[in-house]
Amino acid sequence: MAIDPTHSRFTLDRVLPGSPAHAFRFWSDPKLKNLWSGCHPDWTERELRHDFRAGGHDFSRLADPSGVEHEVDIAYLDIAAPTRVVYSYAMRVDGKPLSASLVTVLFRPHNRGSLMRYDEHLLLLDGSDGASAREIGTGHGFDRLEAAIAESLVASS
Amino acid sequence: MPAELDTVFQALADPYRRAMVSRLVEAGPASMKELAAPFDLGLPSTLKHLKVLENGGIITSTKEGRVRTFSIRQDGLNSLRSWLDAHQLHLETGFDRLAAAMAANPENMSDGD
Repeated sequence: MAIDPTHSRFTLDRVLPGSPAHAFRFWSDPKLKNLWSGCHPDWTERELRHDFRAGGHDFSRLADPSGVEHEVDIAYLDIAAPTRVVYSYAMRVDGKPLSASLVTVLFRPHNRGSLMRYDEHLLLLDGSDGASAREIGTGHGFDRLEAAIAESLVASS
Repeated sequence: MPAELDTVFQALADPYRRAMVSRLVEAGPASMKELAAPFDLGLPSTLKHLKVLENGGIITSTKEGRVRTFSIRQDGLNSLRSWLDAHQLHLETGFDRLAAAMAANPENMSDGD
């Protein structure tokens, strides 16, 4: 079994107060989404776009207090209100690629609220020019190293 | 990105260094000569690669007499894991805010908001 340590898939479940339709609004409505998705009050907004539809993009470019720019580029792939949002997103820091992900968010009724399931397949890029992250996946004998790292991560978590 | 993860990636961005790490992961501690043996690499180049891995926190070395022995550092590989932990924590705290925002803006009040 060869596992590339730069790839990771994880699922986060969250019970939310309100129906799936209500929870969905906090993703689809930019005003409601901003209530929770932005978390850096001391960062400066340089660029912010919302376009919540299949084929649409959300884009944000923020500068942290030291002036370093952080970009999040979301591409909505599939939207089925109020049960499913599928999107990909890339994060860049200082113009350099940090990660690229495919995300599925599912909402379903749960007791008197909703259960939100967030599933992400994340590719961790190297934060420099992207070249070495690609190279890491193609080296001789690296499969065994990947498996060994994966085992050590499982053992240590 | 934490600086330590950056150095891990840089350290592993070389086929010789990855092979040396593979060797140490699979067969345990080894001397520089043992690590150089499978490659057409001189000892000075081998030492250079091993220094990069050591500076990246992936391997460690001890000297006994005239022989330096290299071995894997478990915590070096763990820094890959720590970036993921930080990312998931970031998402979880966002979802905390989501739940709080939904509670503060109940369904019947947020229509036409």
